[in-house]
Amino acid sequence: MSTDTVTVLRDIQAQKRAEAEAWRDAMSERGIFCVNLISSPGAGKTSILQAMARHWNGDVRMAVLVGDIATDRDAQRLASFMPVRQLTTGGACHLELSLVKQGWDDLNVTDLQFLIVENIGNLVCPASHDLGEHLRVVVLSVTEGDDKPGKYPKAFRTSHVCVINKMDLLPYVPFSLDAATDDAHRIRGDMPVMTMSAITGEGIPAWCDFLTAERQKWFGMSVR
Amino acid sequence: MHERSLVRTLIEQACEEQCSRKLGRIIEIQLDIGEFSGVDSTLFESAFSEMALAYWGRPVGLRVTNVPLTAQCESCKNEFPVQRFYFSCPNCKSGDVQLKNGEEIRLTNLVVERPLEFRGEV
Repeated sequence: MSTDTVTVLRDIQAQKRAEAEAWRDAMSERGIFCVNLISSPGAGKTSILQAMARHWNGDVRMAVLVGDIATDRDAQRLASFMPVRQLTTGGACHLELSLVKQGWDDLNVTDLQFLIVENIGNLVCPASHDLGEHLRVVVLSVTEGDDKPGKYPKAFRTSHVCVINKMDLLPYVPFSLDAATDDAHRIRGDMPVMTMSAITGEGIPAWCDFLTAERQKWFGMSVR
Repeated sequence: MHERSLVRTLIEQACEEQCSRKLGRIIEIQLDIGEFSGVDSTLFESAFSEMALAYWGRPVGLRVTNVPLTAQCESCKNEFPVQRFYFSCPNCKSGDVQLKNGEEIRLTNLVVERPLEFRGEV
């Protein structure tokens, strides 16, 4: 049997990237700023969303799509604060755009300012999937240790901002804020690092202001 | 572990190329996998051999070329290999760098059976 070697040179993720870009554009046209929250399990993503809702107190229109492998516990925690849909993957370790689109259809809301996607707790695979977000946020909590950025470089390199949560526990754990910040900056030199405690509310107003400013950077000051 | 989903995409796209270019049977798929693509080559290869057998009903080869991570400094334009995932320029120490290679998952070549030549009526 004789064979031919045929040159293809095709980026197999190009189609998914184009779909994500189209979704981002569609959301931009509606003035909806999409945020993708990634972290390891238990870093406090859901608690941060609760704290944001308490701070904004209905003044900012936000909805959440929350991903988990099993249960709708996070959606239940958030349901009294804002429109929310649980995305249950049944085993998959990350969310993909197709699931986000389904969740968006199920949400059945319009006139939003923020759509927050709380990804599956995992610092590996979510880093490889563009969900059409405008801003990717990696959340690290002080109880996880200050060496995490270097151990999960893709999660930190592909994120636009790093949030360090559970600052109220800082006196009790061996976590150096400087070491974590330096490690994050070795991976992404321009990455803002913001500290907060979702439980005490420390840092939450500054975080909410940051998100509002990022939205305005994308859409302009005239957007409500 | 999203290698299986990527293997499915690879098989679909290899078949699209085969159909649109009217190629013969696929014998081997050649692929570049970047060091920073988030894909483990070993896991990818084992998922591929299982899924290719299920799809085509026969073994299909996979040849992976691992692509190292390189970047270019935006300040001094130095191009350099990224060591230990420290994304700063070894020349001027700037952290403002753009990745050049190492994020790709690229179908490079298909090795296909050459169709029998038509020799005319005997």
